[in-house]
This record gives sequence, structure tokens and C-alpha cells, in this order.
Amino acid sequence: MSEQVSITANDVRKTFGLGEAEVIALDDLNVTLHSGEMTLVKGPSGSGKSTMIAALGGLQKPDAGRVTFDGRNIWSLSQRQIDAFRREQCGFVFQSVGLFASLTAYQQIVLPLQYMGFDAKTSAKRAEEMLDEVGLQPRRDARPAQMSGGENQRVAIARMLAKNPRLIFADEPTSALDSANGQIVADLLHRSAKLHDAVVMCVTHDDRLLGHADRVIELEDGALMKDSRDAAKVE
Amino acid sequence: MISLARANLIHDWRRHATAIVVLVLAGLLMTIQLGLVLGFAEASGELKRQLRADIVVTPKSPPRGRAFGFGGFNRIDPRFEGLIWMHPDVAEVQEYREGFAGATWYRDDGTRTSVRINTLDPGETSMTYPARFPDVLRPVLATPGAIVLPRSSARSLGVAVGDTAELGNVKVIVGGIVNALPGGGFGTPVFASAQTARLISTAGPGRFVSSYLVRLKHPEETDRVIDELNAMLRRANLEAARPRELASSVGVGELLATTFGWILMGSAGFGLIVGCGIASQTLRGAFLAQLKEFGSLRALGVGRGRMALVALEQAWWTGLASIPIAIFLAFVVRAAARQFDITIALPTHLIVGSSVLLLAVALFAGFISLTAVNKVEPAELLR
Repeated sequence: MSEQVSITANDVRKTFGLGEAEVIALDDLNVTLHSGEMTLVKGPSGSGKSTMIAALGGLQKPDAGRVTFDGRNIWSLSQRQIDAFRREQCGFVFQSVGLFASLTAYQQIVLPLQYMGFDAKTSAKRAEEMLDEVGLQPRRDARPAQMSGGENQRVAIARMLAKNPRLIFADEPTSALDSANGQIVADLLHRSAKLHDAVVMCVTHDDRLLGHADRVIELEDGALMKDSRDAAKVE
Repeated sequence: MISLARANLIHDWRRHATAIVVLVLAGLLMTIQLGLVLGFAEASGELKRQLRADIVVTPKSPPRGRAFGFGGFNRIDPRFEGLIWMHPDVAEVQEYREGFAGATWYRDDGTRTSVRINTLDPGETSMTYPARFPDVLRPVLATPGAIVLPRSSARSLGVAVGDTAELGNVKVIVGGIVNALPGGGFGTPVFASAQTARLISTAGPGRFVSSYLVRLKHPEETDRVIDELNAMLRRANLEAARPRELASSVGVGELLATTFGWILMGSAGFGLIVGCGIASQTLRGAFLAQLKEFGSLRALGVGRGRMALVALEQAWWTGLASIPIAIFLAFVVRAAARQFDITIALPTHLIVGSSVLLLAVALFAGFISLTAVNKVEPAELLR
């Protein structure tokens, strides 16, 4: 079991627009997410769920507050250091899977590893392992157009898991998928939290994921309204 | 090593085809324009290349435009002929006068064509009688009133062997047609002996000796004699060279000294700029079409620099793909032009130079398209 990690948001605030058009996306949010847990973030549209991923995942700087990981406020780092933080610690799963139409499933996983400086042998080994983990080894040479939406999402998860992230952020990963594929993807994310001892934060409208969550956070108007744990799933 | 740029180019070839097509057209335009210039120089220098002399002695640093008859012909002080004779291996020295006389060719239907009369000495020991002209034409040329035409001139004048025409104020007969000269030089050349040329036009070749043609006792010693003659003639500001070297030293540089050359080069340059502009927009479009994909890589921590490299590599492959197509088409155009007696020269150095320039243009287009990399924003992938 690797070391327990957590990421903490303290008084994180983010607004969009100016004057009367100003919208508060995050309203002095305070929350800590822990490794080994899959945290589901729910809330109506515009409640600040995606902004929370952006702030915690090093994608978009909040207007105020701190996001602390490994004892450092990530938003006090330089852009290059934030890139490194994302490269070394974060994995993202988006609703639009972001796979290159020209690459096979295997190549989709190897490419970012190659760009991150892994040697060819290690990249190939990890890609094969991840394809096994998401159950897509038989589809390793298929391109996105030849695969279903669920399979593509699984490739995106494998690509993200290949670099062994400690923080996993998923934004509506199942909303474009049918029930069966949605269950597979949710299960994969939950397993990642347990197997890789990662912090998994999953933003969703999809109630089918509730059964996979260890913790459910509800946001409204950028503020945390409810934080509940399923005692049966948490040690 | 997976090359994303190459994979994209192959997978989405239709999108990149636009960039390749404009680069091919720009490259082709440039290559053909330069090929025409070189072909022109080649055709214009062909008579010098076919001189039967072992060595030609000319003034150093020939005036601009000499090869094309734009004025400023060479001129050697005749007193220097004696200097050349002083070399023990020299067997014969002949004067060579560059230049030609203009004349008007009247057809039976009343149309007129301006031609240029090149004077040849058809004598057995002549060093100006072109090497590839058949010997049977020597007595023909020696006949007063007989002229010889290169094939391109015969075609444009619409005459065959045995036809007669009025040239200047004299009736001439076409005594022979030769294939020994490429088309595409200046004007419509007509060959005549000095005697016939004087009948046609009072304006003859240059009044001044422009160079000396030298025949050696032992032609196999040419290189050594050239070195020795150059040492002897240095103070007279003359230089000795093989006729072939003399002909090849006149060319692009001299044509570029003229307005005509600059117009050709200017239009080639304009073609390249337009090609670069369109190619950069196409490459940018290809990158922007994958904004989400690059955004997801960016979210995973892949730096903008790496993405810029992908964009540049895409430009590199696009340029590389356009080179063989441009070369192939250039040879097709050359073959087609030959049918119209237009010489397009495509020497290796031109092909290599054009290819390198085309690749540079593609890379420059890639650099321009790099502005698209700044549009990669992973936060926008979040709903």
C-alpha cells in the first residue's frame, strides 16, 4: 500500500464575468479529497463542479484560496511547475475523450508516455498492461472510429492510468455512454482508487454512478451543500 | 517511436492535400522558372560549347549580359595574340568575334520574322564550325546564298530543305536543317558563312575580336597548357579555359543582371510567398481540428513546446510529400516544353536547391501555423 495522499482546497474562489454578469463558480470552497476513495461530485448545471476539477487539477487558476498537495500550494507554482504537477500527479478523463483519430488504442497510450520521456520498452509494457486492465487487449489495433463510445472512454482511462497518477479527475465520463458501458467505466474508476490508491474525483449528473462512490459531495452555487460517505464502503 | 504528425498526415490526407497541392504548385513554378532561365542560358551558350578549339582565351571578368548579347561584348587588344603564340604547345590561334546581325525573313504570304544571322566559318580547319554540325553541311554553307537552320528555326519559319526565302534583300536557299542546337535561346537563329552574311546584312558580327580560339599540338595536354597560359596571361588580364567551362560560366548570374531575369525570379518568389501563406493556413486548420485531442494531452502535462514540435513535424512531412510530386511534374513540363522547342534545364543542383527551398517554405508555413498551439486550452474540455 502506498502512502496516503490528499488534496485540499481552502477558501477557493472563482468567478466569471464582470459586474452584473458576474457568476460565482466557486464560493470559498473548503474540501479535502483522500486517496483510495472515489468521490462523486454532484450538483445542478452551473454549480461549479467542472470549475472545481479545473482548480484542483491545475487546469485553471482560482481567483483566491489555496489548493494544497504534498504540502505545496499548487497555484503558487510557475506554469512550468504546474505542467509538471499535472504530468507527474494527475490523470484526466473528459466526456469528449480526446483521442487522436489517426492512432490505434495502443498508440494512444504509448504517445503521451513517449512525450513524458519514458523509454520505448517501458511505454510499450505499460500500454499492454493498461489495455489488459481496461479489458481492451483484443482491440489494441483499433482506431477511435472503429470502437464504441465506451471502448474509447476505456482507452482514455487506460491512457491516463498508464502514467500512474495519484490524482484522477473525471468530468462526466459516463454521460455519453449506454448503461453497460457506463457501469464498466464507473467500475474502472472505482477500481483505480482502490488498486492504485489514487484520489478519484468524478463529476457527474449520472445517478448510476452512486453505487460506485465512497463519498458524495453536492455543490450548489459554488458552495459545498452536502458531504456524505457510504459507511459500508469506507474502512 | 510513434510519429503523431506522420500518422495524422496519412490518416487525414484529404485535409493535408490542400497544403501539399499549393506547395507542389509553388515549388513547380519556382523550378520551372529557374529551369527556363538555365535552359535559356544552356541554349544561348550552346554554340560556345560546340567550338572546336581546345582552349578559349577571354578577358577576365566578362561584362554583364555578354552571353545573351545584351551589349558589352568582350574585346581583346589584338596585340595580345602574340602572347598566346609564345606558348610552345600552341598549334593555331584564330580570332573569334561574338555577336550577330539582325535581318528580316519575308515569307511568301507577306509575314515577316526577325531572325539573327550567326556567322560560321565552314572551312576544314575552322574552330567555330560547331562540333555537332555534320561535315556535309560545310560545302553547303560555303555556297553563297545558302543558309543552314536549326530545327527550331525551321519550324517557326515553316520551311524545309530546298525552300527559298527572302532574307534581308537577298534570296536565300535553305541548304540544311540541323538538330544540333536546343531551342529556347534568343531569337530565331540562322547560320550563314561570312560571305553570305555580308550579302544579307551590312551589320556583321562585332568589329572587335572578343576572344581567341586556340588549337594545341597535343590536346591531351590541355589542362597543363591552360595553367601555363593563365600564368603567362595574368598580367594582360586574360584567362584561358576550355570552351565548355566558358559556356557554363555564363548563365543564371548574367541573366539575373537583366530586368527579364528579375521578372522571372520575382514571379517565382511571389508564387512561393502565396504557397507559404496558403500552406500555413491549411496546416493551422489541421492543428485546430484536433484542438480537443491536443487539449487532453496538455491536461496530461504534455508541454506546449512538444505540441509545437508536432505542428512543425506535420509541416516537415507535408513539405517532404510535396517534393517528389513537384519534381515529377517538373520533368513532365520539361518533356511537354520540348515539343515546342523550349529548353527547360533541370540539373541536379537545381532540383536539390528547389527541394531544399520547398522544404524551408513548408517549415516556415509550419512556424506561422504555430499560433494555433496557443489555442490549446485543456480547461475548455471541461463541460
